[in-house]
Amino acid sequence: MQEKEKQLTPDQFETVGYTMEEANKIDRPTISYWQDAWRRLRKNPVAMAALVVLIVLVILVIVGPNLRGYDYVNMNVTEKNLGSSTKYWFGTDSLGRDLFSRVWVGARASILIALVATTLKLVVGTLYGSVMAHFGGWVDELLMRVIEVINSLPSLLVTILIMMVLGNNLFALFVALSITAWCNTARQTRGMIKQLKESEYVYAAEVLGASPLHIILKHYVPNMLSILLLDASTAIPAFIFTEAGLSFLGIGLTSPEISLGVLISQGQQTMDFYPSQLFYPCAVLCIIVMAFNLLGDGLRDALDPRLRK
Amino acid sequence: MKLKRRSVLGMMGAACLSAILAGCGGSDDSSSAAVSSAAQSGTDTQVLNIRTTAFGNNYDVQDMGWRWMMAACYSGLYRNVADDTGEHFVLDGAESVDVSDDGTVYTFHLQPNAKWSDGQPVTAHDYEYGWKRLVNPKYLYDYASFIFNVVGAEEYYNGTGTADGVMAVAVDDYTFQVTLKIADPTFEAKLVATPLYPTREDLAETAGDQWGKDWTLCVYNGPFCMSELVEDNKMVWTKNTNYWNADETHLETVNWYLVGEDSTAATMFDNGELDVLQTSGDYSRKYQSEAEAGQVQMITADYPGTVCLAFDHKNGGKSGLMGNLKIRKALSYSINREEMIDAVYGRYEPAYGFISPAITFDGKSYRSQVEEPMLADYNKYAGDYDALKSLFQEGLSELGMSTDLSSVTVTYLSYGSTVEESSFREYLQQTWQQNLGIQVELNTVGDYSLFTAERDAGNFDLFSAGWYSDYNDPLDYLNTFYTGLYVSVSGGYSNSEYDALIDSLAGENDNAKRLSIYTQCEQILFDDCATIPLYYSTKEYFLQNWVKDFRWSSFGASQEFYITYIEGRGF
Amino acid sequence: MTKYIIRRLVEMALTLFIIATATFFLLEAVPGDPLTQRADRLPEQSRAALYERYGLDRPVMERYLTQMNNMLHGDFGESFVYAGQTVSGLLKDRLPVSARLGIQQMLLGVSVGLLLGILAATHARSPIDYAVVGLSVLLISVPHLVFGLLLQKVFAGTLKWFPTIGWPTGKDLWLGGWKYTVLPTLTGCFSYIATYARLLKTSMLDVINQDYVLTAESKGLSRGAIVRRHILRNSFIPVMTQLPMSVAMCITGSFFIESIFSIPGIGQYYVTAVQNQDLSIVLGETVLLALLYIVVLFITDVLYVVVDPRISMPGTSSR
Repeated sequence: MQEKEKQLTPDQFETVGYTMEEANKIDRPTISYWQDAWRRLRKNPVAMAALVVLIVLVILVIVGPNLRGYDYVNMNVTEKNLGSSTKYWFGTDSLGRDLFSRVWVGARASILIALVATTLKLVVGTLYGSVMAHFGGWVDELLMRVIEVINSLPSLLVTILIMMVLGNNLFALFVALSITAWCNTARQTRGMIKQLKESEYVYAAEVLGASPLHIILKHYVPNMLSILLLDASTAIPAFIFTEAGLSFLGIGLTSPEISLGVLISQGQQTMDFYPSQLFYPCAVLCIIVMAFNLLGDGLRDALDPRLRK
Repeated sequence: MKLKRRSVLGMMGAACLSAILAGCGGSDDSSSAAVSSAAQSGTDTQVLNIRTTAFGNNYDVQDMGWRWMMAACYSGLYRNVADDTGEHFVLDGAESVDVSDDGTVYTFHLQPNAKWSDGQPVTAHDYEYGWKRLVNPKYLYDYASFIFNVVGAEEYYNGTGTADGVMAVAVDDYTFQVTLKIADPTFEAKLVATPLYPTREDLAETAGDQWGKDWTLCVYNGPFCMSELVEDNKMVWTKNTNYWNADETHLETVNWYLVGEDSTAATMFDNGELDVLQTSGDYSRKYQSEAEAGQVQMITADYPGTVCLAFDHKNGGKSGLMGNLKIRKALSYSINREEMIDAVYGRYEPAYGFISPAITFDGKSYRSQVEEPMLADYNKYAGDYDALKSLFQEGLSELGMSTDLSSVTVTYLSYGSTVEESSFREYLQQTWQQNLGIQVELNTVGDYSLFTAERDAGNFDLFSAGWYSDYNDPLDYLNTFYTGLYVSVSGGYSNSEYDALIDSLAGENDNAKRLSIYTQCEQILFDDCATIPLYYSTKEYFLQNWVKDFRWSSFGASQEFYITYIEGRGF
Repeated sequence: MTKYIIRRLVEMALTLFIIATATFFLLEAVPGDPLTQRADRLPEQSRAALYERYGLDRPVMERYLTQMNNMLHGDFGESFVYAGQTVSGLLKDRLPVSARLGIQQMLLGVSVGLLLGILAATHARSPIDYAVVGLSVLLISVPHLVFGLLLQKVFAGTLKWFPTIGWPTGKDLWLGGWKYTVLPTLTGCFSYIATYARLLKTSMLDVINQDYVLTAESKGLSRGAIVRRHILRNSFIPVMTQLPMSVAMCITGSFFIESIFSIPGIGQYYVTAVQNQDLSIVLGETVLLALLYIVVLFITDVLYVVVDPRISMPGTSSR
């Protein structure tokens, strides 16, 4: 190769043009905290599997009762206590009602109860916690004392009494379930906001002249949301259990309304003879709870900023 | 499989002396060693293990809070025992009875060798104290009205008389005399009830407020004594060697275990940890078939209880329809009782009348003498749901309402959460909706006090009701529909013709006339369709094959062990 | 320090007072009363007398003041439903039984749970981790009642290793009759295993990502030493926050276990008393449970200081 050819001259280069803006541009696209969380969640096969299972469950809960064409309350005593068959996938109960339809109607009620109770818990807890953190001082002290009192009351007592006062209906169940549950959320919220208020980056944002709205949206909400999401993912299965436990005491939904808890407590009474009547609702309950738990674990990993790559 | 009746008479003798000395067994070995006279094989211990689902926690016989325990540990003038030949009404604390010709004066000659477990004799004074205590206004016993027919009793209870005015008196230590206002053929039937048992004045007065609450303060004059109680766990009875008929009592110990779950009880029964079992639902079906195979013994007995649905007779119900006879009939006749019992309970007898077959009259079952009053009318409609629908519609048009059945909503009030209870109410809802085309709303509450609150607020058309008789006479059943007496059973039913018939029974001593009045009364109830009878209660006992001479009773202790023994268990 | 303790004591007394008041009025708000069932069977004039005898005919406020005054003197009154039963009798007979059941359940359940938690955290996202998660979900999804009955069927029915029902009383109350306690303890400990395994795992994973663990790793400390000295100690805070709730729960939560194994403890009794609206018993037990909770809370607050050097005594009043 010749020397000459190696020489570079300016005319061999062409200005493609650049601006200051382009110079400062970062090639890797900025992704928000949420996009990043979602990206990491997607990479977690277990969490994704849980998510898929949950979606399938939700679909089943909506359409499941109609799949087999049997009404969940229509009895047919000539076909009672049957095992699984192609006619009745999960068998029938003591009045000859299709268990497959009943399980999904029950699961629908259980999930609905858990979702509403969780929402109540989160809303009340967050508001209460924010008030405590915002005002501080004697308000904080007083409100904290209220939480302490509620926590020292046996929750079973409160739940039973509320159900007795308000009667056995859905509304009473929501109140009874969430009345003691919000305390924990309130405490967490209070701790979080207090910590954030003192943190350097909020201070920095304030100094830089960020508006309160900006601080709330960009700093408080994301931090709070991750906590609340985790709270919800543990609260939902917990509510499903509590409701199931109450069914065993004869408290909660009354016939002909059913939840998984009602089905399990009825199945338990005949488990020596027709174990399938206990097994199917229990299995569905396990799957729901398992899915929420695994998704919760995945969310925790995905939302933890310290794990961000 | 049925039990064979076995003679247990003539076993008095050698054991008498030691029995008098020993008193209540407890941990005292001498008593258990002394009495082993009966025909038992050498290796069997005379211990019976049995299940219960609740302890009563009330030891005051006048309160009758815990009938099955009291009737076995205490003893009154009579004892009511049933075997496969039927109910027997036998003398117990009384050796003989004289009744005056006009039927108003009863003179009881007491067993001279009857003793309390502390060795004191059972005297007529104990009976007198017990009876006067029952109507003492200070104590407000539920069953005080049982002896209002005794001269001076009602007056004392209402505060217008004195204790001395109550004509239930000890003539001497072993003669107890009762004077009635008017002759009452049902009086003797009440004598098996524990409120008329004797009570020891010295102990009851010393115990004061604690009487009946603390079992350690009690003494017993029945076949057994309570010797250990752990609430929610276990109760132990020991043979009372001071019982006047202790020689016929073979069991040394009866262990009562509180077992809440049928599943647990079945495990224990299969294991031999329980000798006698009462259970329900599928467990009952399981042991029924084992009994057919001879693996266990089974006893089925009528029990004087009828379960029914009560209408709101006062206000016509929440829907306002319950005042109409045709609608009431349509509701009642559209329930297929055989199917319902089989689907929901797996035991019991379908009911087409109100008075249970367990009630006897003149020594025979009342039901064997009087046909079930609802049966004929029911059979006219049975299974013909179109006819029942038009019957319902006729009722609606009589009330001047739209005959659109689907717009009718009937509310059923009930409580309880066991599978049987919830299956029943769901069955009822379905059966009415399917057969009559009406809407049925279930108003289900948590417990009895909430139930009464809803009932008194009128939030129902029908509610679950029933009657378990306290003494063996049809009158105890029929009284419940007497205006204003038992609204919780009758739903507020009122019929002056019916009341007049009941009133006419007072002082009526002719059994044939009584029977005819009873029949007329029950017929009125069903002509009026005053209630919806569902089933007659029964008792079902499963026994291990080594349990012999087990007895039961409808009006005394549910289970009677006073002659029971164990043979062939091997331990 | 003394000032802090006095302050806590005053707070405790106040909390107990509020709890007693709240319980009283909550029970009042429930329709019906403990005498309804009895009164329903009585004629009208006897009904009034019955209410008079139990003092239920007087106005609510008057009864409240009497009850509070009596409670101050340690007298909770007698059961309305079960004649002769008092709160002090209950404490004497039933509390020790429930206490032993609770202690055994918690000791077994919490220790197994913590072990599983450590196992899951140290093997995060491995099959072991998922096995632990699966196990704990299974253990809490299947109701106590079902577990208890299954254990009875297998170990008492088929294998005959243990008695089906019963509980040691009398002189065996605390140390004897172990064979009776095995099945109830097993049944009860499952929920603790599930709760604590999950709790410790979560909290350990939080700690593992902390900088000081990285520092310790870079210093070349062995895995075991890091887990023991740094991770475990710091992960115990949430576990200790949970403990007071568990202690209170182990008494009321034993309802089903006590009922299937015929254990004469206070759990069953409490639930029945609440359903019967048996005022004196409910009040007595509620105050007792609340006291238990508060005392355990106080002890854990003190223990925080031992476990976590960053927390100092006076600052513990609000967690």
